[in-house]
Amino acid sequence: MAYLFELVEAKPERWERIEITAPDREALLVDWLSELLCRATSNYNAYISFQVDEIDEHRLVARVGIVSAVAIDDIKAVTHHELAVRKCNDGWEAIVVFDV
Amino acid sequence: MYPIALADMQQIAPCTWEIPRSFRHDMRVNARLYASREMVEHLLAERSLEQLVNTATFPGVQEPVLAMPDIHQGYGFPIGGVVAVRAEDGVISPGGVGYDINCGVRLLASTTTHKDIGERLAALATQIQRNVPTGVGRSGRIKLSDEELDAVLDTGMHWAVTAGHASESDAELVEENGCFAAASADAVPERAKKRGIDQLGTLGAGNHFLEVQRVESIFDTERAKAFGLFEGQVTVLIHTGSRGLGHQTCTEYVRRMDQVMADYGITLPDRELSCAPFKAPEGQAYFHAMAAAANFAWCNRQVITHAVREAWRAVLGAHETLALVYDVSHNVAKLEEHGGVLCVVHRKGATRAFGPGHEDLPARYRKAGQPVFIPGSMGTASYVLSGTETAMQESFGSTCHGAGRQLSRRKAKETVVYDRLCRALHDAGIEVRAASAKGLIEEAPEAYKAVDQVVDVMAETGIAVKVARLRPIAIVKG
Repeated sequence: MAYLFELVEAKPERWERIEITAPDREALLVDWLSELLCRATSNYNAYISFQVDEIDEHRLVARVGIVSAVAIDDIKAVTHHELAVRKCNDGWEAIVVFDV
Repeated sequence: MYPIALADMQQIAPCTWEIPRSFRHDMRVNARLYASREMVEHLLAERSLEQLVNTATFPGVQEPVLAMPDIHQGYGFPIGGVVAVRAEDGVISPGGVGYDINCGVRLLASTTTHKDIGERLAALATQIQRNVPTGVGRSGRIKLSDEELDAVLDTGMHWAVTAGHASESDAELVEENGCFAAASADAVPERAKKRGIDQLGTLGAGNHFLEVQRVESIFDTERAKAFGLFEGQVTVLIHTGSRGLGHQTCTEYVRRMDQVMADYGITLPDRELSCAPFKAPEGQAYFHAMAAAANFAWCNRQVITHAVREAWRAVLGAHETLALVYDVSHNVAKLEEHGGVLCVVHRKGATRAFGPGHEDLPARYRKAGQPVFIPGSMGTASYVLSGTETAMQESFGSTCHGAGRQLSRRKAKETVVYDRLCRALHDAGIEVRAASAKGLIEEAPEAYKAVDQVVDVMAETGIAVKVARLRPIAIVKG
């Protein structure tokens, strides 16, 4: 989101609940990011705080903190191109390619 | 990864190369590339040819899959690719069209010359920038109701004519007359409509631009005359697409097809290639949605045209006109008959280039062949080409679409110096109106291949005929 918006120490004006389901965790990641992108560009919002309430391989439920903002940069879409999510020694590593 | 070496390719003509289907077990057809040897050597260092090979694995794919000389790495599909698939038992792939559905260009021809405009050029550039919303997050001047948006999606240029943004003759000079018969607003996801409803008549950012040009040279007098072009004439090139509506439509259908591919027994080397049988419900739904998004893109370019015409008259006088020469699509899938087979022709970063006599061409261009516009990078040149019979026989009636990137946006930002770029454009006599420095840097001339070389390859293969070369004199960018 820092790529899309120029925000300095903004605090959420309100919160929304987002629920995503997908066939696997890679698709879950793409769908989550796509959801944020769609909401951000349709509603002229920036999503700046995230509280994940539930997550597994197929489902994610989160609350997101919002401020009104117009994007300064453009992402067309979150692609499935060379998509990967894998566990590594000290956490998780993901490869997601954006169409810009 | 399947790296491709020069030894894997066969040179079958000076600018025609093939990767035979024996290269990889899952290829169903050969992969053909139109390029000079120098271009091929450059391409071997990146992954666009591997992406081309991946497209040769689609069920129902027709011989061969094609790469134009402006090919570069994309997402799943390469940009600059043409993939024809049998409609009867083949597939349709949203990624084969791309996120910016019906991104394309149109050329407007004035009746005036560069010399006549003289010092009014700066005022003209400023007025065009005022009239046409550019950049990220800019709404259009038109506020559509939900019903009006559906009319745009269902009827395309018919809506533009009815709403007073276009004449009947404008509509005749757009592929499909600006109205895809397959379009259905009902197939467009609601979220795509929401994302795009306030963007009609906006240029956007990225590589989209609006350019005032002068006709620098004419290569084919007869065809130039047919297209209404003459040396010294001022033209306007508009490059944009379906904006957020198209991006979201593609996003949602890539997702849907990713989820059903296994049900149809389809496995592919990259999830971004997700597809469904053309005749299956998912394939048909995407085709109807894509067609509707294409209608939106045509209307977008038309509303911008209307705004540019207003700017033109405001600065140069009420008598001045800008006639539409033609409007071509770069990212689209179309039902076309080739070699007696009904195909879904995916063009992603490629242009339809039908040859003389084709019944889908407007009557005024049927003798010359289809006009094709190849935008170069800003500060260099653009070309007007014409489709040929060779294109009909060899490339599913298709040619290249632009210069093709050679530097990523990140690389351009690292290497291009903004002040130097501005000075170079100014020294070349080009007025620049850009919404952001970043947008200008990313699209600097050095970020692109040499358009002259790309076009020369197409001319050498006989797939297109060079008609005219256009030099920019003013650029408006997001």
